[in-house]
Amino acid sequence: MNEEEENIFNFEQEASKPHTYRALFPDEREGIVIIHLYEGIVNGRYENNRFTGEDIHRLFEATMTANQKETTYVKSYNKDRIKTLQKFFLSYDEETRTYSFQEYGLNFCKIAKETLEGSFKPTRIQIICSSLKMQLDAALGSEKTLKDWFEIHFEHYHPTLKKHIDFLDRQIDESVTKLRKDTLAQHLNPLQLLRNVSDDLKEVQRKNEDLRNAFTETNSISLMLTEIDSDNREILNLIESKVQFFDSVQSRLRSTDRRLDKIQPKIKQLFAAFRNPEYSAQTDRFIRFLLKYATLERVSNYKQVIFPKEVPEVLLKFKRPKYILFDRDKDLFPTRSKLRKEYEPDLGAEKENQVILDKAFDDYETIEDWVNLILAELRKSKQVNLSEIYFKILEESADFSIATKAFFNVIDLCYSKEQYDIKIDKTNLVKKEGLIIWNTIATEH
Amino acid sequence: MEHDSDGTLDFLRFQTEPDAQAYFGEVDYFLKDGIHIQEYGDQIPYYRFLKKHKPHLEQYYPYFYGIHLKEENLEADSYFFLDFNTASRGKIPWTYRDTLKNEYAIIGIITYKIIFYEGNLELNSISKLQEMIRNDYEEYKEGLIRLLAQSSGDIKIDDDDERIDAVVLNALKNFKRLGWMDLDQDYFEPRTSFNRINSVYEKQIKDIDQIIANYQ
Repeated sequence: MNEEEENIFNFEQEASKPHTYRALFPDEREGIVIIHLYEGIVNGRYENNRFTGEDIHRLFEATMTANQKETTYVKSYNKDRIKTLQKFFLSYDEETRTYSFQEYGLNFCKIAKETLEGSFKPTRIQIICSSLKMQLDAALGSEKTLKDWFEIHFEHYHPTLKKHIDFLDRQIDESVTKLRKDTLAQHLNPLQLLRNVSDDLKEVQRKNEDLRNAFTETNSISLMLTEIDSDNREILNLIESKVQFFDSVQSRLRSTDRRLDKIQPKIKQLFAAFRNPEYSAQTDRFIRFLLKYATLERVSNYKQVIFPKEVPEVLLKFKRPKYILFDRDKDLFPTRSKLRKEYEPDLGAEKENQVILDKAFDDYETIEDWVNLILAELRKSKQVNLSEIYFKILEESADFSIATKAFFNVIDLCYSKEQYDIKIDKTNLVKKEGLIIWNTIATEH
Repeated sequence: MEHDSDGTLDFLRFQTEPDAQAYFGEVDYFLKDGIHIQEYGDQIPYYRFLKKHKPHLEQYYPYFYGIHLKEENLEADSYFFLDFNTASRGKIPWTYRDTLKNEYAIIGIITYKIIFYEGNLELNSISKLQEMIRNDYEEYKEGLIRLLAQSSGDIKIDDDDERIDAVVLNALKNFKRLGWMDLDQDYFEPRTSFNRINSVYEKQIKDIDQIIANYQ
């Protein structure tokens, strides 16, 4: 087992151990005694917040019936209970021989009391939210302070924030339960009860509104959290869980509103129903009457329920008139083909291009002519000075590219055929009109 | 009938208002389709239109169709509908009229009773409602099986329960079309106009003891 595994604390396992659960959650009698002691401390009944074993025994006895007190074992029996309570709830000081509360015992009672009391203090929420925001603002600097904010400041207030919301929902639950038939029937003045519930719910709605206002600050806390830029996985997870918590708070508040919105109109209808208390019973008899005397009749293929003649059918609507819509089938009537766009020929450009093209053909022919002429001369004289001919062509055609192309075509041809030979004398330069060319001579064997 | 100086019917003047062009065509169709209009969700503009032109529309429908536009549950939670039931001389041909199936009406009254008279104000689950109708009302069961499951009812088989469930679901779907309810999978939420199922039988319910007396 490595170190990390050793450190993992398993709450479920730990709490399930034989005596631990029993010591954490006392049974009813012990719990009542503990609560009495707690209230005694809250009300300053005990000096220095310490109490004696005798105090505890008296409280235990108070929870017992006369019969139970008769048995001689009572004291030792309760002694065992006190011993169990000493694990988490109470601690005993041998010097003063008095008991005091352990932290767990205090918190246990405090939470139970607050939950039942439903201390609803939206102003407190507002203060908590603003201070959380300020603390977060101050903590933004480093990851360490940020972690402290999550683990110390936030965790500290978390239960208070949550408790307020739970409280409102529980109030609605209670109000709605009061309107159940059995509760209403037992009540001496059901109309008054209904009125009270209606007022209670209005009060809840007002509180919810207060709570929503108190929680507005959480929006900016969420925003601040989402803007935190961190690579730290742990921090990111913390951010995510807190943003989710605030989101869930907001959505709980919204859903409480929605819940109330849905209940209230129904309560109005209930008021109407209660103006005639007989009406509910009459409705029940009406249903039974229908179920007993309605008949089944076969109409075409189906059996239909037919009401007794005293009860009319409910005419509710027109059958939907059938509007016939004409829809053009696209396959049957294909869309008309688009007009082809005609382009005006640009005669000027056409002419220019024609001239260029014509010249290219002419040049090609001119070059061919010159090449043929040179080859004929070569066959005749067996030797031709190409440099001289180059300048001759240049002079006659006045076109550098014609002369050059003809010149190279001849060289190319002479290289590829065995009967010709090309001699280039790089020491003998032929110059004319700013152009210099090596003396090039073609020969035929 | 009142005529104004042009010789046209006075109550037709609502048609010349700009909102009539926006809403009347649709709201007229909704009303004739049996839909109940309340100040809720996407019905709000139609509701406000009806509220605004109510005096004229209350003359318009009887004049042309012989049916009445009604607003029930006065106060904030009211709803509008066309009351076809008073239309003895209605001008809508019979072949175009439609009734709410009686089995749905039965389910409607039972559902109304469960929610309001028994204070199940937060009952929102269709399956829960089906379960209550099936199991919580021994005294209704025989009649429900006879009428809804359309079988003898002497032998209880699962099949009957399934058929009752199916009728309940179909009833709610019909109520949704009438604007009485919101419905989404297993969720249902009656709107204020669901009260119509109660008000439509009001007279019979009040006289029920007398009616029953005739059958004994």
